[in-house]
Amino acid sequence: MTYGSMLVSIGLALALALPALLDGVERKLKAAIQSRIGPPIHQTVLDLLKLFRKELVLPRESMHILYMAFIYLSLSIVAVGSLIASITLGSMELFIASAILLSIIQAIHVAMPFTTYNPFSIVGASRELVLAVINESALLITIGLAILVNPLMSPPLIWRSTYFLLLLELLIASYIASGRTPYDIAEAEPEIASGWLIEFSGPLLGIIIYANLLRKAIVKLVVGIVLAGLITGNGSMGLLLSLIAMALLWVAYTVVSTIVGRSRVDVAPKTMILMHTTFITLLIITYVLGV
Amino acid sequence: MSLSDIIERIRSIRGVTEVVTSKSALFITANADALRPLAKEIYWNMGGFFRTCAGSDERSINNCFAIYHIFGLDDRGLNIVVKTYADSKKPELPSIFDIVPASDWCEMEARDLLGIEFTGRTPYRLVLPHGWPNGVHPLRKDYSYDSRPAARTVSERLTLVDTISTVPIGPYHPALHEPEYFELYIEGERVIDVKYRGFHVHRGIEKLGESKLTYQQVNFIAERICGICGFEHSTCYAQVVESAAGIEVPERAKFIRSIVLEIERIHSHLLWVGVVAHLLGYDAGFMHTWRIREHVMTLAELLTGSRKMYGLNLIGGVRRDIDLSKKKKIFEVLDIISKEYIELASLIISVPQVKMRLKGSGVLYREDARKLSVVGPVARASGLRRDVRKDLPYAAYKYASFNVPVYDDGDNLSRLMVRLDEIRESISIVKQLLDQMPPGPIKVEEFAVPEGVVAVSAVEAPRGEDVHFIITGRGGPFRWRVRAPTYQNIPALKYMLKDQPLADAPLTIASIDPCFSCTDRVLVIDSSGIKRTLELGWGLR
Repeated sequence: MTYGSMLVSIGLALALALPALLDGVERKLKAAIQSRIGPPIHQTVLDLLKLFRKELVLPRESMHILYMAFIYLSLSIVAVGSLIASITLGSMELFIASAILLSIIQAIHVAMPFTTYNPFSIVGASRELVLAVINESALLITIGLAILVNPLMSPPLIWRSTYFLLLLELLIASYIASGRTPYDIAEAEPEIASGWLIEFSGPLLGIIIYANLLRKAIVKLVVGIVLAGLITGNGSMGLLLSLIAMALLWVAYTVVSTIVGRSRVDVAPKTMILMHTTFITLLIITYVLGV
Repeated sequence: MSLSDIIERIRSIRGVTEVVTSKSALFITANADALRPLAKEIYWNMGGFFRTCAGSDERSINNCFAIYHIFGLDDRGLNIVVKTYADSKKPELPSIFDIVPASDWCEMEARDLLGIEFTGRTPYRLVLPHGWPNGVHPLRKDYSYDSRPAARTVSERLTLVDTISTVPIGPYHPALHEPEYFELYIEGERVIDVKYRGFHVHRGIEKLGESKLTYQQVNFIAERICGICGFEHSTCYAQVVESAAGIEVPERAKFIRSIVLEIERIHSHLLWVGVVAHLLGYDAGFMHTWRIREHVMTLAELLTGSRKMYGLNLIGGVRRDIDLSKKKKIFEVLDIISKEYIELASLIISVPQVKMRLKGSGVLYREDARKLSVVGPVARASGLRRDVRKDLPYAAYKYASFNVPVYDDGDNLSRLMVRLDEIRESISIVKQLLDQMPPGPIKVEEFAVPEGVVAVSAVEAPRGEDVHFIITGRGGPFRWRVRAPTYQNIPALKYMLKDQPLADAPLTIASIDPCFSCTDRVLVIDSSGIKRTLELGWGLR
């Protein structure tokens, strides 16, 4: 095994294990802010194990859901691996492939609840679709710009306004894609009874929850990799910095989501369009001007 | 308008046979023909509100059924009770639903439970479940409280609308933790209409009170009508019996009642604020509100021995006194609550998403609120200055100086603001009453309740006024009617939900602080140590 492939393997193992633990950190941190003790940090792992031990119950008349859930999980794992390899080996092609995979994962994520006949699932999925169309577009445009300004090979000699704007826009898009308040309207637990998740239970829910954690990790890892590329370039340092950035972002997003409330379904898309349009426009201007 | 003017105007209506003034109300007896003109005169021309109506099986007394319509002239501090007789063979009375929309439910409840028909309106089954046999009316005196009719278990569908989407909320829904069923008809994410089906947990508490319990025993059952504001119900019940029997409750007992009532209001409002924060995805607000609420529970335990279900009230007074050490502790805890609550309240309303989603959503206009005679914070948020504590002062409220918060926008934010302001007022009321509490006994040791006396009492619960109506009997109530505030406020949801986003529906439903078990008058009958329930609610399948 080469040094590079060994690093990728270690990075992948960490990236696959960390999301469940970081979710536990999120729950603990939220509890601390809310004056509660909260569950232990490994509670999410215990929850997943419990779900996997339960009997398999599929939503009525939704025969393809299990197949879709496995694809969702498999592609999420591949996307994580691809991102880890891109920063470790400095491969722009893998980074581009990850962005494409992220779009496919998002499409499956939206499509799954549409296969059930529960009205809350459909409402949740419709909301997720609206968010995804706006946010994914912005995220992909920003990733495209990131590819242009940062080849992931070596850190730039001079920091420019473009880099700050790029990171800021990536942060916004990745925060929204992580499904936290105020943009958790697809799940909205009391509002639409957990929305898109309502029909899933047992091992199926376990698969979807874990894949969803990976998806949350991917959107943070993208920011981490761009940041690492801008600071240290690729290789072991880049990998380390990307993973640390992912963990720190997880914590930061948790704090933000705890101190805000949920947006309304008709307001959330408007605020997203406004934010993304403003930042992407500024980003393009600064890139063209070279400042 | 003076009392004599009111009596004169009422007497001028053809068919009014008797007008009697008493301590608790103005009692009118009228022929069936006079009912509608009377309702119009009191409700619209005199500016009265509708509290409820109560059917009664009086065949053993006068060979008739009767219905008592209870109105309130809030600005005069006067209850008006209109009694109308219905034939025992074919009990039928004109409906006043088109004149007083707020009378919809109580008419249908009297129809279900007593078999009194109301002409001039479309009847429907309200309280009894779908499979309940026709012609069996459980509140009739010839129907034993422990009878079990051969009811069928059937599925019930409210509607079958194929052209538009239907979103069910309930009977079990994570937003509301009680059995209720709303069927929302939506286009896109906008609610275009709504239907409500409740009474899944109606288990005949009134029947039990009228059948085998003594006056004092009913007090403890009354407290179990509601898990949150049970003390208001027991106070209201105690007051209505005390009013009927002419019992003079010691002043100190009145102070203790008012203090505990306000502590319960603080508790209830904090609980509600937490629920709303949770519904808005602001769980930090939810958790911190409930953390502060814990102090209030401690106070309740200190004063009554229980965190909830205090068992404090008796007819004629209360069971526990407040000594100096308790008084000192109450002041200490109230100071903590006050400090923490003020910080939290300003924090909650400063969260942009919270304010944005509450403002302008679930609007109930003043004219609709008036038409439906809504009560409590729902009324006060729609510009109606209704508060029984001020309008018909009871217990020791006349000794406290406090404001009644009123907002005009009628939206969810207004309902939040009313409750937030009321918490401050309640803290102040408790402190004032503790300072002024007179010495003396806390209960009347002996009393007698004469038979055949009619009385009505209202208590301002956190959700609005509780109304208890009684006709005294031998050793216990001959007729006991309870009207919880949610009973009066639920019909307003149809107005509040229409044309609103689906996303705001749970929030708007929660904004009336609904208590469905309270409305349904829940009770688990445990007469012989064995817990059992009358299986009246199968829900929807």
